[in-house]
Amino acid sequence: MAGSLYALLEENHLAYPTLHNNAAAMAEYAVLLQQTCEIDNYGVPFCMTVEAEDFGAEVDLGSPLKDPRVTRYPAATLDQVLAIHPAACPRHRVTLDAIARLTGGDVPVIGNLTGPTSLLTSLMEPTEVYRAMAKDEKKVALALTHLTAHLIRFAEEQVAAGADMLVLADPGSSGDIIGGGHFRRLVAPSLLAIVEAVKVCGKPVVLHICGNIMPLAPELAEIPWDALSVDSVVSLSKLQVHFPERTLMGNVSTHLLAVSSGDKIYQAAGKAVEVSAILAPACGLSTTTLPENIRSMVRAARDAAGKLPKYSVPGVS
Amino acid sequence: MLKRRVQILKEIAAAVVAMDENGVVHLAREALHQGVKANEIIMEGLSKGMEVVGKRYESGEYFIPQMLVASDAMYAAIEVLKPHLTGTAGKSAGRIVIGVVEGDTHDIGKNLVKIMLESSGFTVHDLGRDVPLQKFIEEAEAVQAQMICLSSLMTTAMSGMKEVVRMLKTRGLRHKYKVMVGGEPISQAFADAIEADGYAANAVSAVKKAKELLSGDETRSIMF
Repeated sequence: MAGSLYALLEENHLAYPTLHNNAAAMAEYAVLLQQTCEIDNYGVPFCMTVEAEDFGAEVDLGSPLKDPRVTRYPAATLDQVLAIHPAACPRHRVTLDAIARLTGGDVPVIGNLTGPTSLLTSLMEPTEVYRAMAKDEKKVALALTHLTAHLIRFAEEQVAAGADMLVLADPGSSGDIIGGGHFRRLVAPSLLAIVEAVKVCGKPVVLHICGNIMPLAPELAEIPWDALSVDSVVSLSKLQVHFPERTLMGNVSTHLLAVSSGDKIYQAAGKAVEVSAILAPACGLSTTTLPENIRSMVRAARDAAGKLPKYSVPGVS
Repeated sequence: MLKRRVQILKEIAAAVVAMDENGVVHLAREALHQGVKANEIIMEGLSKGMEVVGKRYESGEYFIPQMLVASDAMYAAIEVLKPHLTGTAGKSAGRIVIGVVEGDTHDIGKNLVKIMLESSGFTVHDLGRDVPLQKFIEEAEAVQAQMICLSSLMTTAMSGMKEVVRMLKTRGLRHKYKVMVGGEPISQAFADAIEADGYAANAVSAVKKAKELLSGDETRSIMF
């Protein structure tokens, strides 16, 4: 998921927050981001709050420097989460409309989904969710199943609107936070359900989880993601040992992309692309990231392209 | 009597580690009944238990869910013990203002740091999340803190940490407060670059660093 970049908004005098709540503006910004930064895809939406709003969360769309965020949870307990019947919020439809506007050309369109655990921690106090994992795992499982059903529907809608692939990002399920046991019992089944649903639609799916995912390798191996996107703390070469035939994505530090400049970024990206088949930032970009820094990363990928085996993502032309 | 006192304090620590809230509360009441001082139950029972919890967190056996439930057990026992704290209890290991920097709402890490600092005898004033930068300084001044702890998970908010240090300097207050920073994207190199006093990679090391930075500032006694 790429957020909005302050520099792009300023240089192009784009109104805010219309890129988040207007389909034409969302599509226009996705094109601008792709062209200016020379990346290989369009991606929408630009935040991880649409699904939360579907469940009744109050969202502040922020400012050119501040990403959208949940400002009021719709629930205080897991029972209350279970009682919510989600409904497509206006931005849910904006996202689908933007995908429809973007699709059909030469540039692949990537849709984005917030993972179930991350969504759950956007609907009620995260501390209570994590507490419940230790005290009432069964109820957490029920809540995640409830959320997963909605996420699968949103995924199917994005594919129907024309998304060529989906990125499923679930930073809230990081093994650093919850450990391998809870990940195995609670998170992996929910992620598996979504990934399988996307693949039934005939599209590839990238799974992104933040933090040190090495301890989660056995569980991740059971999920049929097409690419695994990882954080900058992960050693791609060590991770590849666990997934010798599978595609890794990442993992240029977003802090580096935000504060550093050309040469350092190029070098870091060059290191990452020795292993990663899809070069990408390690996580969500800071709004202060300069487009030229992303271009440095892209340049590293292009310069290294000749050294990599030819690769194509199934389903993406 | 001595053997029973040592034994029950060990059992309290073990119950904290086992995340047994009912057990910890029951044992705390039993210890009081046997004449063990509330101060001692906290320091030698609950706090020792949380130290073990911290070690298990560092070693990757416990994670955030377990830390939260263990601390629930600790806090539940403290509620039972508070009315029995003697007059000598009052000084804390240090007063700390903590919060998640403006622009960021991820606070699990900060909450854990707060728990571990409190279990080690510090008085923590928690400003919550998305905290306006000047609020850290205002609160530190208001409560006469010794340290400001800044937390952030997001790259965007990291510049706010640098700004807090700059604001302290501009207002001639830099010498009054130790500044410690932490969070996923934070590093020692970043802490050095913004001239913070310390960096902690996790909640357990935050306690060690806080003790190191504030050693000699206050006599360690009791919190709450």
